Amino acid sequence: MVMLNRDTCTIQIVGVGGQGALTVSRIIGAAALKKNVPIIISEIHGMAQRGGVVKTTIRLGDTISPLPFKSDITCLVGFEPLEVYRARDEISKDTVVVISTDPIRPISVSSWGKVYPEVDDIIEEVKKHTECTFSLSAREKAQEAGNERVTNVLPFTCEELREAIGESVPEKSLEANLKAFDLGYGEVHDRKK
Amino acid sequence: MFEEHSLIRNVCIPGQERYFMHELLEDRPGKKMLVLGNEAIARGAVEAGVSVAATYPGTPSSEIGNTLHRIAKEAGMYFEFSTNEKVAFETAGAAAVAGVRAFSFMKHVGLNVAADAFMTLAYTGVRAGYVVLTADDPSCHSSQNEQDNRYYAKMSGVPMVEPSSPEEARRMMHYAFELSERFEEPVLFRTTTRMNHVRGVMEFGKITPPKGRVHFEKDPSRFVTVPANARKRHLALLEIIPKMRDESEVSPWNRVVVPEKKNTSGDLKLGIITSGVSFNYVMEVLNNVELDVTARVLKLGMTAPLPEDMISEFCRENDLVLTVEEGEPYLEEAAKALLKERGVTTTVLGKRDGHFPIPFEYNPDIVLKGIASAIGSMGRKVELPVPEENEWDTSLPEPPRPPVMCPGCPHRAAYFAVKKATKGKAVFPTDIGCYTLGIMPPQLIGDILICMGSSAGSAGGLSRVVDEPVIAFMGDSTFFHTGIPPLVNAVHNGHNFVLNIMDNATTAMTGHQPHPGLPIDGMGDPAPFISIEKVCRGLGVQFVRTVNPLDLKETQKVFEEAIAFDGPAVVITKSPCALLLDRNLRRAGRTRVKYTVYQDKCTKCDICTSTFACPAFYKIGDDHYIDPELCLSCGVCEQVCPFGAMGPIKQEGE
Repeated sequence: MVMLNRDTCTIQIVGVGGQGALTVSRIIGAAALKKNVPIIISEIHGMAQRGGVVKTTIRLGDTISPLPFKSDITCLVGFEPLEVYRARDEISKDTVVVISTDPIRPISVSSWGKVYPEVDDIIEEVKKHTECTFSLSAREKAQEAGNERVTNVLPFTCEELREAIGESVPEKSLEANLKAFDLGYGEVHDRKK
Repeated sequence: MFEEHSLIRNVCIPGQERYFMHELLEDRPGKKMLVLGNEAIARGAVEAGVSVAATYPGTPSSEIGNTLHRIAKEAGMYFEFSTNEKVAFETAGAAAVAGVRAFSFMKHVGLNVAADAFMTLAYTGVRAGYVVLTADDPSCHSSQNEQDNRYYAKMSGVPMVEPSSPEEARRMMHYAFELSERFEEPVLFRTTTRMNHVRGVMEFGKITPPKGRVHFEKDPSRFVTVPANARKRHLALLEIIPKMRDESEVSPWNRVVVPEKKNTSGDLKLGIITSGVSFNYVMEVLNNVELDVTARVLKLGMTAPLPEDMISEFCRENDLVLTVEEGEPYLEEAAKALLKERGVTTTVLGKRDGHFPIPFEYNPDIVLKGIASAIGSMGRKVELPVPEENEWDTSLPEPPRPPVMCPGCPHRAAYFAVKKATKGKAVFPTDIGCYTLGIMPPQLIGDILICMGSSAGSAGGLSRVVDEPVIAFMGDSTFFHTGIPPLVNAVHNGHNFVLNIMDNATTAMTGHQPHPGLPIDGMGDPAPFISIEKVCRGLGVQFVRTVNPLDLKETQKVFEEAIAFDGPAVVITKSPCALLLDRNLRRAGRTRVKYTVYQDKCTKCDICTSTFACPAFYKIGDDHYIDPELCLSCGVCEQVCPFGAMGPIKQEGE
């Protein structure tokens, strides 16, 4: 079992209802099951759909608790920049943060006159608090892959994840999903060098 | 006009058909699968050979029904979405009385609806296993309250079990059925959101095929609860309770667990009594934070009746005992009373001493804080890990992101027409469903909401005491659930209000389950559907009109007439759920033209965003746009804009 230098790896996904956080957790789940890595995923259903905030917590490794200590998030994946800012309490120095830079404006902005923060300000703020941040336009990558709906396949593991995607998404959008995954993976991989 | 309604024939719950339909039914003991808690419960029901299962959908229990809807037929089980939880409880309960294993499940407040039947079935008992699942929702993630249903076990006298993980839930289903059959009593299976909606690894057990038809053995002295029989049955129940308690003392689900990594050799002997999901957080704390104690955890899986000897022995062996439980101080009060009764002097601390909160769900941080506070109050200083400096610039704007009605949602259109018809001067009792989201700006519709079906009842009372018109809102599924009796009441007593039944041809909020108004049943078979309009006419409502809410002018006119009508009036706004319609159209290979803002005609008056506020609308500076990714082509914006600046995207050459 390959783990970081702690007992668990906790991935927190934040985003907006309908973006596919649940699908991603299923993909990671399929990969974990195949590799015999213990996994617990916590999801909130119900009202969270309908455009509200969605939070999914994935815990890999030696734990039975579906919820972690706030300071114990290994990786925070933000499908939406404002939601990363909102989840800032869960970002610590060691947290790897991956941010999609495409805003989804909530109804409070589009119709109630509230202001959406500058995405660059959010990224700058996040960078002040963690040593490892990746930001990318998931929407651009998805367009490149040929399906705008495929914007959020996680860019941080490899071949097993591709296999897991194969098991978890409908055949007709598989190719676009895999391509989006490769593009995202390439993006982060290149920047790491 | 309702051509699109006919597209809703193939009601089928979205999601994971492809992955789970057959896989969850595989008879391969030992096979591992990553499943949602609710799917593990469904598998447990299949393994236990349940013959009859019934529910009314309600988060966080909904996916149990969605799963059974897909697999029941293949599993040889009868499954139905009943009209409400009481009917579900009675349907399954009677099957268990007859002699086959049965299962009913519901959200916590659903058990209130079923409570009348629940309390008395505890007297009659059952002849085959009957498990009743209640899914509690601490933190009200998707509920109107966070009541703690463990008290239903105490109030009724039936045994209760509480799992901590999906795999435990599957195994506990077997245990619950065995208990139920041993004591001939229904068993309450209590879960919470972080159990139902946690995905974990489950190992398949053996499947027992369900029993077929049975002969009904008559025994009216037991099952007909006239007072003379009821008194005898109460005595019978009181006689079994001590036997259930004996089982609780030796139940494999009530056991002591010790942390392995930390807190194994401190000089303070700390005992923690816990159950359900709280156990997970307790272990996370004890395995990761050194508190300089020797900790032992009494994990209770069978929490009614409580194992009194086990608890008092456990307390006697420790210097300090904490009860860690979400919700009310159920374990705490029981433990404190018990120790007093038995003269055990160990201090027990919990919520009543202020160390742990009553409201909202727990997590490891809350549990750590509570444990530290309790140990600290005993005069021991606890060094907690200091959180790192985390000073964020909090001056960035942080606009809220509340859940809203979807783009294309027919409820938004209906509300728009209602506001036009009333000019906002009316009282709006509302109900439980997606349309509750009408409380958000700019609709601001929703003045009182208590529970399922309450809008029509509240409307009757309000119409007797306020001057403004009263317009109540209720969904189609809610109408069948508990909406009909208050309408009968309104007709008979001559209440004067408008009831808008918002018929979107599904139970949308909980994940698109069918209901009696649709031509499909819980098994996926074609079924007779009940016409809401005919029901209302049959009840004697004199004003019943059906209208397509996506036609704003016509809808407004109908509401104006309904408000002017003297007596109860029903307006059925009928248009399918936008999500369901979109999916069915896409499956049928049909695409519809998206809408856009014609920039040359837009006066930037903001009427669209300030009165209608479709989530597909957005602005850059003062300019309005429609996001084609979000637009579901309902065409209502075209009617909202007074300047003709919104309409279908024009194809080249038009």
